[in-house]
Amino acid sequence: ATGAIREKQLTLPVIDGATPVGQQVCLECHEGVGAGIHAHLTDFQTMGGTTGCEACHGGGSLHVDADGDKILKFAELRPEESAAVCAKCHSGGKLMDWTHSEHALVDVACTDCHSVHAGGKVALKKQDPELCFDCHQEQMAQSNFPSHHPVKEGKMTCGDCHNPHGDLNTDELARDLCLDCHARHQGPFIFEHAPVEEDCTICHNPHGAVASNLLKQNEPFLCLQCHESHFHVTRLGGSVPANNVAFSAYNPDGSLAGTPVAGSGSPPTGGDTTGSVAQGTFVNPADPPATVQISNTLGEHSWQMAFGTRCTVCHLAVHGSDLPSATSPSVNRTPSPLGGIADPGSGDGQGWPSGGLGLTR
Amino acid sequence: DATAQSTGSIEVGGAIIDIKDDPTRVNKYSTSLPDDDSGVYGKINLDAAGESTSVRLDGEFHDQDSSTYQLDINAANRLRFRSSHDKFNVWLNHDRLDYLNAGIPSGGKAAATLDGLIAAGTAGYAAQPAQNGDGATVGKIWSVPDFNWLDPNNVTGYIGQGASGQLYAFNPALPYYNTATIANPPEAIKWQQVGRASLYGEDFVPNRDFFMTREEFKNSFDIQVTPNVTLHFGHRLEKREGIDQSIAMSKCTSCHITGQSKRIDEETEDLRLGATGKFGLLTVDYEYLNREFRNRTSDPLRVFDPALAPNPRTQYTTGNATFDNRLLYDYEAGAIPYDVTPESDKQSHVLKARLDLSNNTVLTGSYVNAEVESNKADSVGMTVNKSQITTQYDGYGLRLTVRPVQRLALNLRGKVEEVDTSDFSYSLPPMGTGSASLGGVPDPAYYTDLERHASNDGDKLTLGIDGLYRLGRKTTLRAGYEYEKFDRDYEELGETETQTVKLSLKTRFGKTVSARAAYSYQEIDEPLHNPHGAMYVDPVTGLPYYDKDQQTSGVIDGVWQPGFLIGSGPSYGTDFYDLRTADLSNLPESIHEVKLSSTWSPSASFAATVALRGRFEENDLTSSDWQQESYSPSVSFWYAPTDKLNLTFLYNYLGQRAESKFCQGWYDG
Repeated sequence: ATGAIREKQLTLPVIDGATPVGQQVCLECHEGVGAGIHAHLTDFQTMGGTTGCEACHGGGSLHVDADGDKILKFAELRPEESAAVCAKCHSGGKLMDWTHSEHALVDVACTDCHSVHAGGKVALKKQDPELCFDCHQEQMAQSNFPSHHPVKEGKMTCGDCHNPHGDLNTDELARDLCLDCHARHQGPFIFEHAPVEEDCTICHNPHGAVASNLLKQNEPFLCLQCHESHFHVTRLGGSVPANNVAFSAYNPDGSLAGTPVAGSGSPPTGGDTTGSVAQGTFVNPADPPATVQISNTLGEHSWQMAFGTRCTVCHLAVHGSDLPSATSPSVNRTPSPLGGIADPGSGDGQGWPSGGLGLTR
Repeated sequence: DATAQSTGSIEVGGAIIDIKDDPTRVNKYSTSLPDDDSGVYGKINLDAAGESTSVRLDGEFHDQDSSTYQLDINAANRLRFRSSHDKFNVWLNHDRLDYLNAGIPSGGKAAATLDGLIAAGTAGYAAQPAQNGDGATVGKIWSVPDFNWLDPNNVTGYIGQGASGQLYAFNPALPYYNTATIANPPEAIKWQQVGRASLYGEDFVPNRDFFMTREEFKNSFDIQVTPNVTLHFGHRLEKREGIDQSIAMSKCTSCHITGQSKRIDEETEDLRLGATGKFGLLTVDYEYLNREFRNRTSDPLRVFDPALAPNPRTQYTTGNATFDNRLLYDYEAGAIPYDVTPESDKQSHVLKARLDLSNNTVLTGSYVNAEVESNKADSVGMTVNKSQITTQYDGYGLRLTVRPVQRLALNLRGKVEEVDTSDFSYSLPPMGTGSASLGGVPDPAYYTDLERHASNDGDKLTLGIDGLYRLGRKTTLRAGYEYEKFDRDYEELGETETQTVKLSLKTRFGKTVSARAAYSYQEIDEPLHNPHGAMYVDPVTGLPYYDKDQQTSGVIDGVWQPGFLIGSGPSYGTDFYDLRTADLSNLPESIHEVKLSSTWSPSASFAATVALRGRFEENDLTSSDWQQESYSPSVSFWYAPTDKLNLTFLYNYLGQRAESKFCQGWYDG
């Protein structure tokens, strides 16, 4: 029988010379100890192995005469010894990877979390997450951050994502764990956002965050670590009439005098603060033109307010989309009149980003 | 029977929540109200156990949108049935879009009116004074047949649509006149700010609360058919229903952001079948998963704003041919879908085997196969060459635990993973492809059969070794090394190699104090990054954002040299993205992390813990630097005066600073 084979072949802690005496003998002194599931195991569950108290504690013959000694006491066993006893039966399912789990590698014993004699859900000493928080106190704090999974509300437990006897509750890539519940982001999408496909934790902290939506940092700062901001942040450099350029970040009070400079090598011509500036001109950054008030109802900083807040207001499909953005600003031009970066995946000379990306629809 | 016993408890209570901030941020799982909340709740627990059978029922009820029930039946440990129903509410963010209103309403002809811009004899235009709510004249308003005639360089003010469907243009006399009414015929007009460039946000549902109710039914059934074989059946149905904000954006020349509502009605249904077999020293596990994700809502629709640039009669001048012929759709396409959630199907097989040998030797192997499919179709602005994309995942793992000596456990592990997505291409026919654009007629070949690069396709190899050495009965030393290589098929994203070293020491001092110290170091070669994500540097001058093929400009050797900023040169809008050279990422190339903790527990009912975690990460990619520092000390006290009462006090501080350094272009577009 499988149970008998495992007891015989595996290296288990033993009391030398002890032999089984039967559970009833144990209960003569230890009445009421066996209230949990382990007290009622039959030969059917142990697959022909030892049943009763001695299945875990070893033969009790010497213990009976030794005044409480000469028995396997799990509090005194080394973690790997107690795990070996449990693994006689618990070798499948989520227990399969126990010896490689982070808990095993930091010398956590089965009995640190489980009270084998007790009943209840998988005989835990406390319920999840309180049990986990005993050690993982930073995660306990994070679960109280403004943005958090509903762990403290009792709608999730640590065990929904983590297998304490292994790694994460997935045998695929880590993101597949998140997709169990967040299936709307499963895809595959025509237009992807690479970090979404790689690992959700590049942007999100699943244990809790100060920023909304479990983001590691607030927008736009999170996005700006991988993308430069764009569009009318300051309007500097645009070939638009000087009297209408929203220079407000660059020249917030409009007090700076300006010197628009003609292009094509022409010498600077100063004082033109009212008329149009011809195409191809630039403005000496050290000497910008004066500005005029423009009809931005949110004031002179309205451009910065708009483009310095949430990137996802425009790039709403940041997790991926099957629909193209409104424009394809730079699509596989071959060759580019100015050279540029080759796109080795496309087979031609240009195309970063490929058109339709932008995740705006 | 003699050992049968049953217990139960019922708890009734109340809760009051007082919210001073945005409830969707600080109270998103509130049971009933988005703001201040109060209510009663109840809990029930029933536990009955006989010698061979146990029944456990747990329930918690807050209101109709928040409840949890769980039933667990165990019959002779041979048959186990678990059933649960869980429901809770999530308040979703409502962006008021009230920070989006900026414009440059006047072009080079600030005083110009549409009268001077419309060709003589054009029918359908009618001008009259625009009025405010008090009847005062605030500018000029035109009835227009369509918006194609409006030149973004010269339109001053706003465009709008009346309740009758009539289109209007409005030129305010003063900048702060941002709405107007028309006297003949009188009707309400919804205005949109336009001009050379404008940004305008409109929240069409300002008073609506957005929320989602998540409901999950889960059942599992395990039956031990023989002492060696247990069969597993599982079914899970997850529903997400509610109302979400649905934001859309249109351009050009205006960035018009609108917020509407979108119904959420999603369903994920999982079916799991599996078996566990134990045959002597061998344990085998198999599980099959079939998942269907369905989106039962109709797609939100939007009529996008007029595209003012590509029309041959209204586009920018030659020198400003910025977005000519590159728009894919506008209002002429009518109402088109956006914010669409695609459906998907997934099937996976997980096969694992574990062989327990003597001397605490354990060998485990695993094979995982998963396939995800999602249907695709042509859309306005895009055609696709396949009706379905499939991503396939295969993983092969092998792990070995050995104990060469009593004090030492060694873990060896290796895993090979392959991700492969079906080849796929799409075409983006621009609206103006056939027009005689001043910016040049684009070659349709540039927009046809664009290859889709699946960013996560590739082969991943992971190798690791961990050792746990027992220095003494109460002291262990752990050391580990892991090598991971992810070779992406898409060369643009590169190949990432990660090496990790871990060291930790755990010990006890006497019977009351325990301590742990851990250090880990990771070195990552070429982490996932955004290649060429920023900055162009002129190779001649070394100046950023100056056009290399044009006469350079900037302060060179202390002398101002005229030329072109790239944002104002002819390459702007057509080649700028291709020219960028800086790589950007928030993922580090090196990580140092230290963890220290100690617990003092003088009795079984009291424990005090202090802990500190410090983490330093940085990368030094091409033309950019990034670094992040995190410090998180904490202190906690736990006290349990009775078996039924325990108190925890925890203080945790998290300080984090991230710094991303690269040259940022301040450019128009």
